[in-house]
Amino acid sequence: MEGRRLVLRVFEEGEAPRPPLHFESVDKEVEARLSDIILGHGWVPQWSGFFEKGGPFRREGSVFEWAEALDLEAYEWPPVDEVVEASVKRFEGDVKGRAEGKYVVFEVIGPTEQSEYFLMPPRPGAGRELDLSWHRFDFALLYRVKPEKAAALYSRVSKYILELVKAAAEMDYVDAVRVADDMAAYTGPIYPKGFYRELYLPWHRRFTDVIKGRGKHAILHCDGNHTFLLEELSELYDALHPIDFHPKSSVDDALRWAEILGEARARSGAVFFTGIPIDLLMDPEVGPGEMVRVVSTVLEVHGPRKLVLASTHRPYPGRSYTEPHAMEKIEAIIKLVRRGG
Amino acid sequence: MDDPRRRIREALADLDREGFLEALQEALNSGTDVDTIVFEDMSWAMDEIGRRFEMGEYFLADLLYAAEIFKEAMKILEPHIASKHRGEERRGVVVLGTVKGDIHDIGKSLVATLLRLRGFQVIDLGVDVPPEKFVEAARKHNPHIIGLSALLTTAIPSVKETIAKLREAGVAAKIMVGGAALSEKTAREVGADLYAENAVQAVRVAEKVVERASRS
Repeated sequence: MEGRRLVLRVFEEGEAPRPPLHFESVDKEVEARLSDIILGHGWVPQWSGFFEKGGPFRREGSVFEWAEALDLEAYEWPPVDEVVEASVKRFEGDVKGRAEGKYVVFEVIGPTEQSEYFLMPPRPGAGRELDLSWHRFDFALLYRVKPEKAAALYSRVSKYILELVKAAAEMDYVDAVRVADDMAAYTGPIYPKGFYRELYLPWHRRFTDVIKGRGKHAILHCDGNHTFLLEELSELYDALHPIDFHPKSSVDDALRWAEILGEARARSGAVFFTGIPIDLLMDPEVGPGEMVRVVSTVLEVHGPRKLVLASTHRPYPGRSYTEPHAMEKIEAIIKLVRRGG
Repeated sequence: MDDPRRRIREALADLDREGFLEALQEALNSGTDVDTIVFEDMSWAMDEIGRRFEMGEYFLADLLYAAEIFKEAMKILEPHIASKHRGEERRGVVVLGTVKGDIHDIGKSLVATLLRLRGFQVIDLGVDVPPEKFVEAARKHNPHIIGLSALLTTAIPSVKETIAKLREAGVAAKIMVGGAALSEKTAREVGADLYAENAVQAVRVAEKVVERASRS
């Protein structure tokens, strides 16, 4: 059975003849070769420069003075149709020629992450050398210091995302729209309490209404431990990724995570895209046997229903599934899944 | 306890910035000892904030916000503290840094702010710090604790290497690790002495180490 049919079976009937596989990668050729799914990045090109130069509302100096002075009109906001057009084009570049027989996912960056990027500092020298970017949760601080300005930024960004989500869901060959919007750490919530009820959930409801209303699956990607909103998010979204509720940097930690995954399964009706910790997959000291042990435990604890076996993240910059130790583990996982667990 | 001191405690614990700064200024104007303000009242509030965080009443954004209020207060208080403590020993010395291969610094900076508030001297080496720099700082400052932070799993080998280099160099300080990439188990595997799950816990662990050292 082709990959797309397998994933659709999981959504429609709860279970497929085997769990579909998704090894997410920036190298889309490799991803397509290994996976039943292809995911394209519909990230906004007009805003990609923030990672290098910093966001247009980046903080310098005291948080309080910065928040007071922050002026949303100081940035020349691009026309919505241009943003949508450029983002769709970017997505098409990722999936073109690779979508045949695959379950196609269009990924957009959600408003929480995107708002953080509007406030992020320029990439430091070390970050450039390591090809890493990071933000300082200045949006979280802005929400704490000047909630009305934070809400205005969030809504402004969300309006672009809503249009992008609409365009994505209207593309014939797109099966799902994935909104990538981190808002939790391993310790739990990052943002102040009110944020989730006042901004996060209402806007995500609008996104999922649009996606589902056009007959497509809505998937949420959110790192960290978001068990505090698991029921609400499971009601909004058809699927959740990567169920990252616990660190997975060692085999023992990953086995503990598998147990937590089982507990989460019992509380959610959503399809889970999870089960393959990228940390272990890319760790040369973890062998194929240990990797298979973790994935088998996930299959056993979680059960085969409503599960797409997916990598928890893409490999970090500069790393690839084509590294021999990683490929050996991927082959072992594929073998495990094909022989039925 | 007199009124401004009580209000310093309550307003800071409630993250009421304006109320706190007002009470702080009032306490300074009335001649309250700076040590009392920092190491008793603000420190009490920090404990309370930590408790509320651990109870799930405060979230990470609240801790970051508290750190910004602390920083603001320290700008007001530092001239007084510096003149009062010139040449004096601090409570304990901690060298901190995000290991080579990682640039994330929020958790590490939060730990630095909270430790300073509790009277520690903190030497913050920044991010992407090579093992040699940790060894050099350990030799120079003779710290009680060396704190290594890592958010990325790919930086775990770097944590391990840094600890090995510190041991090879015969550094006596306790090595504490933390950050999203690490768990208690991983901390043991990489050879760390101590693990802290979050910034609040890091301060508690550091205080225990210094207490034990002062007893022995």
